[in-house]
Amino acid sequence: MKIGFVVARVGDERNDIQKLSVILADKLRGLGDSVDVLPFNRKSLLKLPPLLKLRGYNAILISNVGLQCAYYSLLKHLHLLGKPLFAVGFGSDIRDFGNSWINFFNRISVGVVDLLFVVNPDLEALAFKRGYKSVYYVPSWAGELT
Amino acid sequence: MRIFYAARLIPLKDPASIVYAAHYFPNDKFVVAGDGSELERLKSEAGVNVKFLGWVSQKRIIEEMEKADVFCQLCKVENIWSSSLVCALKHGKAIICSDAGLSRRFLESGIHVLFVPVGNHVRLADALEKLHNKKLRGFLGENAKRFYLENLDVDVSARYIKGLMEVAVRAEQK
Repeated sequence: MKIGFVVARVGDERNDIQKLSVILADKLRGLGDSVDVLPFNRKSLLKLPPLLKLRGYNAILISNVGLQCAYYSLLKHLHLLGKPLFAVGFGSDIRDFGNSWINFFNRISVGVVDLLFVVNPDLEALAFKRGYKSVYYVPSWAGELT
Repeated sequence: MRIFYAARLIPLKDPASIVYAAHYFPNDKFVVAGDGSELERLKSEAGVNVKFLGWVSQKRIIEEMEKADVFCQLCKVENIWSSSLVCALKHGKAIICSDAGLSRRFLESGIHVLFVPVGNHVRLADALEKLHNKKLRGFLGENAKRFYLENLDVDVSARYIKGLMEVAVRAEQK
């Protein structure tokens, strides 16, 4: 499988999520998948989406249900992304119902994310509550950081 | 005894309990890693046996974890799977864990961790008193490490994710 893995804050030493995402990308490569890490930041919003490049992938995997997930979900809503869209929820991106941005990002993503993986078991029920249909708990691999 | 705590210093993570419990053990060393809104207030309320490191790198977290006799995981809402808790399990530490969220679904009290009520520094102090027993620390630490190896392996997670994605991709292609 050829996977485009969208990760925000790649290289940010203080950000564990991007480190866990890079680890997952490496592990998937080890299992035979071709994985391209597609760095995402706010400047990505000002550029044209890499639609041609995205066509080369079997699926798009998004790390964290944040702005990057909303962005790619929007592309899917607009039928500009005709690939299965998967996402990994790490914590407050699903859990924080008090944050209007998080709620907004999730509202955009809910209808088009085909599979949502959550790395904490309490997130399963919360993700279903948000309206996601396919949610799977996957044990955290945070131990790889240590 | 050397007690380690690592988290954002915000009320949700309950760093106050470790600072207050430390007052009962003037001969033990408490090391607190992390920064946040509670840092300055807790520094002013802490005894001389509490050392605040501020934000530190993952490398330093591991160094402190290796030196520690006990690790405290005290979040008020959910501990599963905090990266610091996973680190403590991986390093076979004796862990005191707040009884929050789904912690008891995965961890057994007296086997993998000692559970304490959320936000209760007195009960935390009781648990710390118990862990002055080196044999008990060793027992908990061994079980913690075994739990990590049996349940939190990244290869299992990666295979699971890959398997589900492949099924979904094939279904889409049909």
